[in-house]
Amino acid sequence: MSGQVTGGVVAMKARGLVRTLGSGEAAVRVLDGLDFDLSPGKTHAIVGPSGCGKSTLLYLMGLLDRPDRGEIYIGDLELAAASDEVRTRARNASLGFVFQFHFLLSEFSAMENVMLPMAKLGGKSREEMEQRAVGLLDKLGLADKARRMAHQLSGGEQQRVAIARALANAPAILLADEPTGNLDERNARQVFEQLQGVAHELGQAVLMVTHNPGLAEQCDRILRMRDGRFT
Amino acid sequence: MSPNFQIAWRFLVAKKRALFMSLAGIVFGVAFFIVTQAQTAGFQNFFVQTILGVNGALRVQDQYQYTLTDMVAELEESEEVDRIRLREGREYRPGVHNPNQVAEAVRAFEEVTGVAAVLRGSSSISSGFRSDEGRVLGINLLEYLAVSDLGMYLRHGDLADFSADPAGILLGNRLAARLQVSVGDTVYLGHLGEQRRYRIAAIYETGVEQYDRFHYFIHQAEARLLLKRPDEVSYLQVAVRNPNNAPVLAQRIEEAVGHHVASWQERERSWLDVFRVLTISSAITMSAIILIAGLGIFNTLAIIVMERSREIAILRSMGYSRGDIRAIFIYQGMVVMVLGTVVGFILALCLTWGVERLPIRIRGIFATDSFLVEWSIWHYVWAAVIAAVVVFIASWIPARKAARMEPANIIRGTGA
Repeated sequence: MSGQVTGGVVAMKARGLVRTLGSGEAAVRVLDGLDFDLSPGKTHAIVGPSGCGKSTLLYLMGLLDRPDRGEIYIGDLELAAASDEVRTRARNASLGFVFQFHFLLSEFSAMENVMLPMAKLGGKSREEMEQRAVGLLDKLGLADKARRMAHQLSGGEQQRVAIARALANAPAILLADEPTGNLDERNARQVFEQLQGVAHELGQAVLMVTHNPGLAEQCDRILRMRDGRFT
Repeated sequence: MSPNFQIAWRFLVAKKRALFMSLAGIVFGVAFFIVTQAQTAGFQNFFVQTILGVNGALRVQDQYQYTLTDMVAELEESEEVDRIRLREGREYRPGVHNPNQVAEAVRAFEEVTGVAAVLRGSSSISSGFRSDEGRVLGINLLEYLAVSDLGMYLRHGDLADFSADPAGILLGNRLAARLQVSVGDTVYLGHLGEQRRYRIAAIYETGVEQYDRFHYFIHQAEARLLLKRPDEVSYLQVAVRNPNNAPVLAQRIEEAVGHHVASWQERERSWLDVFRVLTISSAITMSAIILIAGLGIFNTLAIIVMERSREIAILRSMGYSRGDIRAIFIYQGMVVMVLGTVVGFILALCLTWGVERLPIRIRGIFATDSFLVEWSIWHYVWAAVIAAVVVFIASWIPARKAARMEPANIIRGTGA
């Protein structure tokens, strides 16, 4: 099975991705020539056993890692071999990340955490950034906790702040690495619904790695991986 | 406030104890550096002032002339020989033998502000209680006051008395104490079997032991009679506008007047070397405190980099560049440096002010009854430069490590 879609608009695509981790005799080919498209407004789930290369694929698509071979495009811009500067700018403007662990900056309030990507991108006054951050937190049901420090929020609330942060610069693509893996069922469902809402309402392409088959089934598209390939 | 600085500030404030320790190191390092430099420079400057006040910036002393030698050269085509005259060296003749003309030539230099002829010789000096050996200095008072601070050093008596009395004498306080004499008393100077009587017009204290114990001033006309040297003088003491430029001026005057001219820097080289060594060694010692503080900052930042690796990864994932990460950690060092330097400056001001009031009695190379300090902006500039360099290096290394971290490896849990 290929991760490519036929026809329609593509938010992000990868061609022939190969990634080997380790070296010498310990080298393992984690991704073995993957082709892959992300469609805007759709949620994509990657499922598969541990070690099949799901997270590695996510990091490559997130421009946090470089493939040994292959190409990655956002629009017409090839980014696998692009300079660190170009990839960093693309991460800031076009990509949003949600990780299993929220990785909020604990000395900052929820609102300030959401403002961090906006502050880096520039172009907005502090008031505009605050307004947008509060708006996003409101959408995720956290408006009343916008000024609380990150460490004063529950696990589910922190993960929702992380989603708001990922959406801060209205990126075309949202990447989530087991975003509900650290949450109880109620919070997991809430977070998933919010990710799906983002895709359907805001038109963003969401790529989610998950071990939860129930959540994967609710995604618009499921990609099953085994030994570095889609099955 | 830039987002990088905001992040740096929050990271740093979260580690208050480590921040305080690093800050304390820089504060004390900067403050002690400034105070020790202020003291060393203070004592050195006072020493130089005393030297200039007592001995003047320049001394025109022994006359010299070049000695010549012949080099014999044989011509190839003939048997004739040719003699070429070459300069061999200098022959010195002690003293200045035509002082008026030489003084006139020296005064012609624009940088010269005063010239005084001094006739110096050995004599015995005795009071009713005891005798001693010393050096008599024959001066023309007005001329001499223009090239020295003798007037400032008077402790008892009056220069007007000396001026009015051809048999007046000025004694150093230590010599006066040895002879058990005071103003108005009589002393006898003896030279080559002849004794002459003088009345003590004033007693001075320069703080320079050599002067206060062994030198005494009489009128030059009297000195000529006592020492039986009717024409020459021993040296010309010269005051100049810029004493720091004395060595260059000395060389120019030496070439112009044909006498050896010694600058105060040349005469006091050994003491100036002592002060230079003290300045450098205290600077090195105090810089070591700043260096140790730098190691503390390095340690703190290295720990922050390790503890914050996940935050670094997430910042990178949201578009913060390697340069931004580097800046975040360098800013932390700079915050410690700026705060530490400013507080260090304030502490240094207070300490220097306090030290200046500490009592200490020093006699020998100068006279002071309290610590001497120099208030110089350059001590503060140097302390800030040393702190900036040390802190920058101390923060650059962890900052570079943080910037080199690969976010995927951190998130994957395999380290940097």
